[in-house]
Amino acid sequence: MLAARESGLLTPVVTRDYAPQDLDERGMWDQCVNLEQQLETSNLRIRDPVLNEYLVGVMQRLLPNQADKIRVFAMWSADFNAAMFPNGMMIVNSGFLARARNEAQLAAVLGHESGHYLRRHSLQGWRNRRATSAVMAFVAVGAGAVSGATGSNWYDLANAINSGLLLSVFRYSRELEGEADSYGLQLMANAGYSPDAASKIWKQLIEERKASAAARKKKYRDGAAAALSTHPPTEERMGRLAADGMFIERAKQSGLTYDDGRERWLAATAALRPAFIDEQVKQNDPGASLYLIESLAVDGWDGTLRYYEGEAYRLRDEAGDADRAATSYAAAVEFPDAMPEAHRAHGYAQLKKGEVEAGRHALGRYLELRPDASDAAMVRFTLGQ
Amino acid sequence: MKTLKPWRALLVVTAVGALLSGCVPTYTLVKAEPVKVAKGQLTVQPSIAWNRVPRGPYDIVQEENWTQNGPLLDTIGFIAALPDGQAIAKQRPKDDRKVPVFRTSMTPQDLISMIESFYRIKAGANVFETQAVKPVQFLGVSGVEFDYSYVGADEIKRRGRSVLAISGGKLYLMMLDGASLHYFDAALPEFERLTASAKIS
Repeated sequence: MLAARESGLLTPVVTRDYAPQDLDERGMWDQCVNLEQQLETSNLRIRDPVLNEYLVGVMQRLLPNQADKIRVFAMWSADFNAAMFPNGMMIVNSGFLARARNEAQLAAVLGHESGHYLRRHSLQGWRNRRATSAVMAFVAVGAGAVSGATGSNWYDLANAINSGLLLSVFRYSRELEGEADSYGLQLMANAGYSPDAASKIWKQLIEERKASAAARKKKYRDGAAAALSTHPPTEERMGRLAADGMFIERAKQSGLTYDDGRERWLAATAALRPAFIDEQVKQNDPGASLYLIESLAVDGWDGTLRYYEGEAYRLRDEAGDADRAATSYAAAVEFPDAMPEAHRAHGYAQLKKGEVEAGRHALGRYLELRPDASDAAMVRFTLGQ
Repeated sequence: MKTLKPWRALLVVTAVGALLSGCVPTYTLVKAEPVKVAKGQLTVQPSIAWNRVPRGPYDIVQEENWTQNGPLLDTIGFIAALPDGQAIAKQRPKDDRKVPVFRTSMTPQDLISMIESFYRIKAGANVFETQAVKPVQFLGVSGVEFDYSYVGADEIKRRGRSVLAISGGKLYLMMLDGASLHYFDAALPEFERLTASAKIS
């Protein structure tokens, strides 16, 4: 495999006109058809047309010849995860979209998942596990352990039906994950994305989990390194991806400039970005929330990030947090992109501090900006007191 | 099962446990007459009979839940006299995700985000939408009426209404939760009668 990686010659097993080869594989595809029908009508699907067209566009850039064989479903779920099914159905969680800073990081995950598809890993994985131990096939370690998942979701559902159906970014054999990582890097480099975006998104995730653990005075444990896990521990994977990324970067002809696609990413997610961050902050895992906001702010603070920084402090509610939140809200409303909700939060924070006039002014501003707000009656009542 | 609301998960857990131990926790009848709820802290007057959901390890002390058609379809919850510094859900200090604790200084905005966090963290809500936040009179003081809808991991769309008030420095909360197809609307008139009839005992 290493030789193939060095020569950049990982080739697809699943080609354009690919059809399931035998009974095992046909059975897996049939189960996927059922799952996909449920996904299409799911209440949790993110139906924003701008985002969905954009995802198709990024897939076309990564896989110019086969992009139409992969259907990407963006789903509301706070956990950082994405998954590939053998029939070309892919899930990308809002919890990942919230954390990606640019198109290259999105492409890193889409490329990794495409690698599973093109190399037909689900069938291999399923056969390997069936051969070794029927029990292992149903041991669920991975996404939940790494990202602190609370509820079950599509991943669990697919696993319950047949664990071989799905390959998520956190699961399965080291060899297959390593190959998918390499294939993803190869696709990225070919599409003109900087391959080191892949290691950066993993680094961000590790740092976030460490921040979350530290905030609760718990010891960070690389969930991916748990005893039952067969996939590369996240830190090990990050190091390997960084090395691979550098290798591919060096191997590319000099003079080629990489594109992180940040502007395209921001344009495509503009309408959803506050909701993505909102979903994370409302989980009230303050260490993770504040880390996430700071990692996004590496590219520059804006009104949305300052507002959610305030929200993270307000929900954390430790000594001094009311003042910290008030400071964040005050900064948020100074930005031209300040959300109306930032004015509301700013107003209530000032009222709490006893700054009645300033607080009333900010709440008034909220009603001006959003006269038909769902809580307009409540805010008017507060103003009338 | 983690996707179930705490009281729903509890039902399954206790039902299985009970089958194994031979001791079945039972629903009890709530008659259509004035009744004290939530450790006797609140008195309400139902106009129809309800089923009191058995208590379990996920409930906080100040909590009581009723259902008409089973907790997956409709639930009315009561939390009464919750003191400052306590949460509306049972949780451990080192939990990754925590519902903010109640504070007497909470603004309406703080109260509704406490409810939203409860749904997102404890009830597995993946999509949560605020529909309306209004001032109401509840227990003789000004309170907040909060309407919302959400989709949990079971993909069922549900609606909820929470009515909250702070009286004597303590939180009083009544909560209706039901499948948005039929059950929420069916239970709403009775819920409104219950909140209107509610008195601190």
